Amino acid sequence: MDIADSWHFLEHILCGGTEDDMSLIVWMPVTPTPELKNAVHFLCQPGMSTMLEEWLYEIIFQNLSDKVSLRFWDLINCKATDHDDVETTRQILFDAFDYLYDIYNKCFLESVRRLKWLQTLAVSAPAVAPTVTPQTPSAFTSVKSRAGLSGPKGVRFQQPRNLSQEICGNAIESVVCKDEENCDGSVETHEEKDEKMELGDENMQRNNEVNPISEEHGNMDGSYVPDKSVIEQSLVPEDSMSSIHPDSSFELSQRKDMLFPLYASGAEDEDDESFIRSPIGGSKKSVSAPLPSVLSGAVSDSPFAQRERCQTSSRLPALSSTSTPGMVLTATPGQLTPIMAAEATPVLKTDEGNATSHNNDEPSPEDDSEPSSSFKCVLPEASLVFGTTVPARPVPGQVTDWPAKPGSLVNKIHVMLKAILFYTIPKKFSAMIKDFYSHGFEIYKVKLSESDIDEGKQKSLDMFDLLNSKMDEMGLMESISGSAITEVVHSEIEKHIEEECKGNFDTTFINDLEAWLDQHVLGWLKHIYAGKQTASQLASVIAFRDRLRHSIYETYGKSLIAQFFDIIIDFPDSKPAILDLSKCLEKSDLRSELVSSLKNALESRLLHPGVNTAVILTAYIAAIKSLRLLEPAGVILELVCEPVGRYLRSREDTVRCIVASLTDDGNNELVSELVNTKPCTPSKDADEEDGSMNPRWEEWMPDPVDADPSSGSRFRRSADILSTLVNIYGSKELFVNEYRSLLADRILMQYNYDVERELRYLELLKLRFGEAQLHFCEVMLRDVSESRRVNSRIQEACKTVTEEENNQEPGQKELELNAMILSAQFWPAFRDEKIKLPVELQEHLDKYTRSFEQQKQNRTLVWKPHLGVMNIELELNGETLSFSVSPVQAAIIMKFQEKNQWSLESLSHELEMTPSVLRRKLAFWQGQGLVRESVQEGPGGDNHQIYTLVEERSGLRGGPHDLLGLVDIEEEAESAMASAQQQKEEEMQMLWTYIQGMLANLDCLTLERIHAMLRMFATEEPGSEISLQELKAFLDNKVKDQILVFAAGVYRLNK
Amino acid sequence: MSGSSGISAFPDGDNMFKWIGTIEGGKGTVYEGLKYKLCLTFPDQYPIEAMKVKFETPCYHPNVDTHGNICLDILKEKWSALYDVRTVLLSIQSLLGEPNIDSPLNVHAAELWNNQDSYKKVLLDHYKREAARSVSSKESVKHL
Repeated sequence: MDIADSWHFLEHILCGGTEDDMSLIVWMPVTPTPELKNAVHFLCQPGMSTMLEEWLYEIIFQNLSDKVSLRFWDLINCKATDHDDVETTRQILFDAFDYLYDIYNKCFLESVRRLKWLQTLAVSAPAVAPTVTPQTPSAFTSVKSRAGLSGPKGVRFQQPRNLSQEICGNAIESVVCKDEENCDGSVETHEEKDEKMELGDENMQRNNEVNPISEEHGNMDGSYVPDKSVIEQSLVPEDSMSSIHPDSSFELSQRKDMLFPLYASGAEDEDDESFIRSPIGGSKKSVSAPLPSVLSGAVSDSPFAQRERCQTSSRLPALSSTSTPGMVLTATPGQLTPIMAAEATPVLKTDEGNATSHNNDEPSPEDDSEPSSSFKCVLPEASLVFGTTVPARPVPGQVTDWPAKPGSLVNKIHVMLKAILFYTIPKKFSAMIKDFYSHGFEIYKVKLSESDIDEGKQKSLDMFDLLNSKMDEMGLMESISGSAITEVVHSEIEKHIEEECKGNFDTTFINDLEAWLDQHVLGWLKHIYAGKQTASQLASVIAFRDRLRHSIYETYGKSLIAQFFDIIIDFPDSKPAILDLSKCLEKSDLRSELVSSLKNALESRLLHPGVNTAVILTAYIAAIKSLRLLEPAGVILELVCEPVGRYLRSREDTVRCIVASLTDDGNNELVSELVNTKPCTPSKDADEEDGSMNPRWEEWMPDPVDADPSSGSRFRRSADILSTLVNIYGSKELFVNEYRSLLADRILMQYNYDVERELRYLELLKLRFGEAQLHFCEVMLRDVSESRRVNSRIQEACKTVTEEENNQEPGQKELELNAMILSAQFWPAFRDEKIKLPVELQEHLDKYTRSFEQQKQNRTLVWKPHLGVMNIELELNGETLSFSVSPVQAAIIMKFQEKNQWSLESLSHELEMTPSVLRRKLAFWQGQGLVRESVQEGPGGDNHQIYTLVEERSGLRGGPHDLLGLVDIEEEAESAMASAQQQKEEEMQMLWTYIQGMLANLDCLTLERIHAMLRMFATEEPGSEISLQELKAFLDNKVKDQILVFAAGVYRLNK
Repeated sequence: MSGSSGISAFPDGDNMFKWIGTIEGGKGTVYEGLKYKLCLTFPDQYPIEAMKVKFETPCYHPNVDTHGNICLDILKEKWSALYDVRTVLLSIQSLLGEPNIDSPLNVHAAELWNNQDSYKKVLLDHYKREAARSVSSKESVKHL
């Protein structure tokens, strides 16, 4: 029998054709011929099937690297450079993968399928009686010797009996010598085929090379190659084989004895039949030439690199040497079989069991969809080949599992595909893939939203599905599109959140988002990954779901955090967004990001001089409310609002704003806060201190990790908005004081005696701040109601008096005068404004005072004329104008009754007002168009401002007068109370007496000491605290005035 | 505490029970223009018990001994809880001008009292001497 012929025949069965373009390969039909039978028997040789597998593997590798991968990238590159059109790019991608898939299916899978078929045949081949021909061993040995020449170090030709020796590495030479002659002959006879078998030789040689290396390592079972690729693992059975020596050597040789004859009988039956030349052999030159370059090119990257390196040590003659089929046989005579028996079977079984669950992406060719079926030729049954029905012989270790298992040929092909294809990836490729998938997602979305989609979209959807399933089958899915899909999914999530949720805070999106994720994203992923809907595929998609959910929470959370400032501003409406965010915070680690980003937002958007204090306060309140909702423990609130509080402290009008909004009418939040919340009482605090007393201890939650451990959580939790605001300053006194002056303002602005509302607020405030603090305010309100009573009595008295007077001198018109009588002690200091009222007015006031003195003993009235209001009527040329003005303004206009023109100086002299104040007041009348200002040059050359009463009031409205009016309105809104500056000065005066006393008795004191003493003795009145800096400035002024001496760090009185 | 002419007092440091007071001699008396420092200490039972007042500046006066102790009825048997620092200091201020020479602590001063001119001379000598001493003692402290 001609071994070479059989081998050649087998090769031929496994290779479809010799075309350069793989897609044109045509598979030869296989018919049950005797030759086939021979070949199958030949294949039954121990190790032959593995050999053949290796060979096929090598062929596929070559084809891939020579033809397919270049062509594939050409397809993508050439066309891609020409067109930048998206649609074309997708088409190119599709075409390229179509081509690849075509080859994969038509050539590789088919050859693998045939190989399996051959192996199955071999397994079920009827056993033939072993008849050993003397020639066969010699043929073997001759080949062996050739192999030995080409790779002396690693060659292992084993005569069965010499096995143990061989392993020791001694026996080779004698064998080689013995068979040298035959060797030449056999090479000549089979020269042509030898050449064709070059690649097979190479393959064999590689085996030889690997084995010695593994022998050196002794224990080879798998652990030897932990980081090698799957391909190398496929070698492990062989490697571990050789490591079985020497204990099992006896057994091995026995096996060989038994199996060897089997081969011989197969070889004997060989018929010389003409058959189609092996594709490899036929195109020998063209194939062998590119091979070295491809191999060496792949060294750096491909999984073959390792093998390549192993090979280089002895590969010099490798390509030039010829091989015979016999040589292939000798390479592993009998070696593989024992391990198949001993070891491989259980391994295979477990692999089979796991194969489906592990390799979800692996196509299972049994239920292969039909594109490949057209290439498949019907392969004859075993019975047809052998002529008889033979029960399948259970040969252990024979590869019968067609579904891919790790290390199987299909798997190897997948790895090869990846290795060769991705050795060089054009830059554009990943972008193309990404674009392809995002487009796929777009279409999928459209498909979900609309029941019917147009043809083009349906077409691209189909294209998309097809390409995915092809990639999936080729095992390329994960490496090509894995990252692209993830990227697309994440960017889609971001996009969706951006589109759907941005700027919309009044609805909750969490559920919608999850639904969207399930429906769109996961649906799409299922569509891609789990096209076949197997349980494990679904399970992996479901597992991915959790990660995506986390991602969606995180993305949404981040988006909310970025907008949290706006959420705060919208507060009551943005509750759903806040609740969403709190859910997101639970599931992701965004707290610190929230704190820092919100801090930044607050500082850049709120805490700058361009923002009104009232606006800051509103935002602050909203922030407090929303952050409390977000996190009841109040830690974020504390962290975030700290700068706001600090900033508010630096604003002068903060307290005023707070108090004003506290007592403001209308729908103010603070008012309701004041009305609704009860300040926590000390007793309640005491209860909470004792954990067992708290009935809600089961609901207790620990503080978040970023809480400041030094401040108690109870305080944080219980603080309401108002106390938070009050705590900005750290003292209630400031608030109460501010409230007092505000109250004074409000009472004095009203000009009636109605204090109902103020009383209510006062009561509420008393609840919060305590009776003692608000005692002054209470007196103030009592003053008002008291003065109503007193006023009416005085009016009655006055009336009777004036009636009597009127009887005496009629014609004197009576003024109706109402007074607000305030207890000087309890009211804040008033802004003082000097004026000498016209006699007519003063008379009335005096009369009122006299009447009051009659009613209340030991008390008198000091009039504050600038605080009142007068209703006056002016008659100008028969036109009557009525005004409500302050007495000062009334006094001014009354002066114009005496004469029409006043110079500023004389008028100010007459009214005892400073000219500057007078000018301001006159501006009001100018604004009304009643007084005109003109400049007159005085006798001394200096200018005098002359004010003239305008009698003709025509066309005076509008223009600059309105502007002046505005100025005046502002002026009128000025507080009746003394300004803070004035108040401060008064306090300082009071403190000064203390300081004098101190220094008189204690001689000399340091600044700190004076400050401490003042704090101790001089702070009975609320708000009279003085800072060290203020005191220093004050004392330094006194030093300047030479009242004090400052020397050696101490102050003393200047004697 | 200040306000009334010529008298003032202030707690000495953080100790509220020890005050330093200053008295200027009343106008029209031999003590006019002189300043005396006093030390006021408040016992635990104050104001039921009288505060203790001592001259810090040595005072040449019929009712003040060389250690500065004062013989004044309202600080002893006639003490009342209604007296405060101001009234006590005012009493001492008036005592300066109107000593009780019947029960003197400083007999020399009491005898000399009737001769106002020589009294004033001795008084000023004494005052200057003490002032000089206090200055020198201060300086010696500084040197230390």
